[in-house]
Amino acid sequence: MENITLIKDTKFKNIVISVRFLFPLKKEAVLVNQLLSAILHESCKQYPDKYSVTKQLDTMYGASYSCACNVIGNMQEIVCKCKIINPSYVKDFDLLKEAFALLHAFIFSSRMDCEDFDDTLFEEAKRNVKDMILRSEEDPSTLCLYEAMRVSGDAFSLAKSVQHSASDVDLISKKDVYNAYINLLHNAYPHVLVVGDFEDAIVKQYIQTYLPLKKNTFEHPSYSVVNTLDTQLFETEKDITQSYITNFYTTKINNTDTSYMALKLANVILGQLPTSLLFQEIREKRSLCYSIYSSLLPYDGILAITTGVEVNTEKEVLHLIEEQIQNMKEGNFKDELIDTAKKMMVSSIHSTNDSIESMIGFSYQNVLLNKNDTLDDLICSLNKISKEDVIKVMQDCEILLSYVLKGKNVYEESV
Amino acid sequence: MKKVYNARFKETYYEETLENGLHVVLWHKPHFQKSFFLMGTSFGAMHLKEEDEYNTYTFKSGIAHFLEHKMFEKNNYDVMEKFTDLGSNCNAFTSYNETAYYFSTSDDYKEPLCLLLDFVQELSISEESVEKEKGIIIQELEMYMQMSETRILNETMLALYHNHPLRYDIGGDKESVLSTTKEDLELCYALNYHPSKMILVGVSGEDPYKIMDVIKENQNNKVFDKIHKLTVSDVNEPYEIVCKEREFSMDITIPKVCLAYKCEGIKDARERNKVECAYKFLFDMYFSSLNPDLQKWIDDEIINNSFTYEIDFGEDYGMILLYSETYKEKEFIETMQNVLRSITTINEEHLEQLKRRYFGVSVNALASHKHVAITYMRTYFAKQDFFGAIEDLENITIDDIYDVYKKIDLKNYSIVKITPNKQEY
Repeated sequence: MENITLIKDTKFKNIVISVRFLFPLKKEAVLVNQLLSAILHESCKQYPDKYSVTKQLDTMYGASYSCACNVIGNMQEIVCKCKIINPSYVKDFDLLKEAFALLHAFIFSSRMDCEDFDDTLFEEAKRNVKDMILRSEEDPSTLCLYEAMRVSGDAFSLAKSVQHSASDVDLISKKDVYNAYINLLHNAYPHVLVVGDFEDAIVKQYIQTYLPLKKNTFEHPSYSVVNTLDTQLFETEKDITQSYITNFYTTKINNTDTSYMALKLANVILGQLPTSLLFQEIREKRSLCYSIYSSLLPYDGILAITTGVEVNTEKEVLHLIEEQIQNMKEGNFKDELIDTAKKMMVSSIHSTNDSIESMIGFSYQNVLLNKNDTLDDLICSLNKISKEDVIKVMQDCEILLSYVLKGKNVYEESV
Repeated sequence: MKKVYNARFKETYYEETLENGLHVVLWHKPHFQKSFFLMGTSFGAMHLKEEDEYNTYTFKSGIAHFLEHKMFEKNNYDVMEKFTDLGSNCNAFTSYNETAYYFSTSDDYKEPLCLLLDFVQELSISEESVEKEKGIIIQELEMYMQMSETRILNETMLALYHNHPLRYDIGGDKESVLSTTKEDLELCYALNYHPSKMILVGVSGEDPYKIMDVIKENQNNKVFDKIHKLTVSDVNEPYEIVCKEREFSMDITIPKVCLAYKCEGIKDARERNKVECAYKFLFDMYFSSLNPDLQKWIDDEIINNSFTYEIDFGEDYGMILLYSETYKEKEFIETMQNVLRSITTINEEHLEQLKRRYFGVSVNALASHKHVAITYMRTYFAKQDFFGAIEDLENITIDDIYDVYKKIDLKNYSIVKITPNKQEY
């Protein structure tokens, strides 16, 4: 039972069972897998319509079931998840067994039982995926991020997850989705994570009974984006009253590298705190934005900066962002900021044990990276990082691109 | 401290009102390393007119939110910076009914807790900084105005309400923000941030008695002005809606529509909670997957998976909103209205099923430190009992649901639509 992670903790009011299927990310299969997850989310043979799914979840005291599709580095995953309340709240009802049985029904008894499965099921899933794509294009900050990914090219795995339009969904056949489903069951790497208050032996028995998963292997998802672009600055106009900026930087470091913790610390100093350089210089000193932050794409070796700013201040903000990157490279930040960043990171690491979702995320990352890190290991490695380490990782950062989604200044126009 | 243990949900909290009037609630979460503390006032974006024995005070829209921003500024230190130095995440929010400041930490709670008490119990702002904040707030308002869901909600309030402060965005608008002064903020603070008008809720694995000692030591060293007895002025809001239809366009791809029913407010907090629960059950039965017709509406593309409904009642307002993205706006309105017109039975089996669901939902909600703190604050300001509000939900009967259904005035509605901008070629 090596593809199983069980974390027993009696303090939680819930039990979460997360069944994950990992497989290589292929540009042409991204949408097919999104459709597959939409169908696996919707119904199954045992619960063939919304009413019967709802009825079963209500019988299980407001349990939830979901299926989602994500990109992790150069891999894609489909996650089926069931969340129930701690069974100690319930009498005469084996809630945990019901949860495993429900997951079994959705994963193994899908209504996709042949290449020509039910049309209405397929059409609804297509509409849901199309609407999801269109919706993401309506939110300017998401649109800016996605457009930045799109133009960054195939060297960036995440770009593959957004390089399609809503109309592309119509090019997918039922056969494509059925084949993806069969591939999921037979060739993907499956892993089951269970966190909450339970008996190990019972859960192991339920997994054996209800989740007979294949023991496939998987490829490492981490890689580092290499810059292949000729242009750095991309700009599009949109009929909105604010402008949005996304900057991507290549770091040459992903979460398998020993210097990754130094990069994490650098990211916090640069743009994760109210005292970080970006927030202080651009919001606090100049009132140019409401929020600005940096983040890491840990499996891709990318550092991202995103903000929404007043129209016509884009150039000034881009210049100021570049100044802060330069300050990081030259060590122009206070030692106190390093201490604060470390303190915040330690606090965040400690809080992992107080959240089921964080525990699942941390444990699964260990699985993907083939590590056995404990939270104490992380804190220990963080505490060893010096200012020089931070400067060194930042010196390797290079701009990949700036994407500006430029708004129109409606106030000026109306005068 | 009074100890309250709820055997059904296996939860314990302690409460006490301090000599200065501050009500303190300490929710004990054994074995959790994280602590979450929240300090809130019942002054929110809706309270634009207050009165005492001698005066009536009128505020500009968005002032509660502006004040929330400025609370983080002090003469000799930066509040955010201090919290961060202590390894704590600090934030705040303003709603129509309240303003709250909070932090969470997995480190030692004592210093950040005292910092929370200190910074909320002092206002020290300069004219220069008030001016500087205006740019940041306007950027925040712009950000929300570009979200179609926020826009349609704002426009729906304009279609429903003539005078009620719900007409205004929580943050106000560009004009009200630009005209807010240091004096406005100081007056607002003086009237609404006295300890007796606030609550402190802590959710932590730490010993509640030790936490209370820290709080008392902090509070005993402070002197506060006299309590200012205020009442929120009544709003003269007509029964009828403002307009039947309202339409605007945005840079979006899928049209959106909201069907909104205006209802009367309910003064009594417990009654209000019961009515809201009964409506929730009614709409779950007829406008969710419990209604087999929902699938037909999806297949006919009358709704998509964005379809949702919202029920909100206050002392002097009430509304029921049905919302979806749809290209078939007329069919959407027709379908929703037909369902509402033709309700004749309340299914007992569905009611029991929903009660079972919401028991689970309540257990789930108690798993979140933040949710517990915010919900406790809200039930306290509404003068309700935390667990009593949950029990009310379980005691809802078929008659209760039918009664609230009969109270919906099916003629008192507005339709608000967002259409995509026309493309220019």
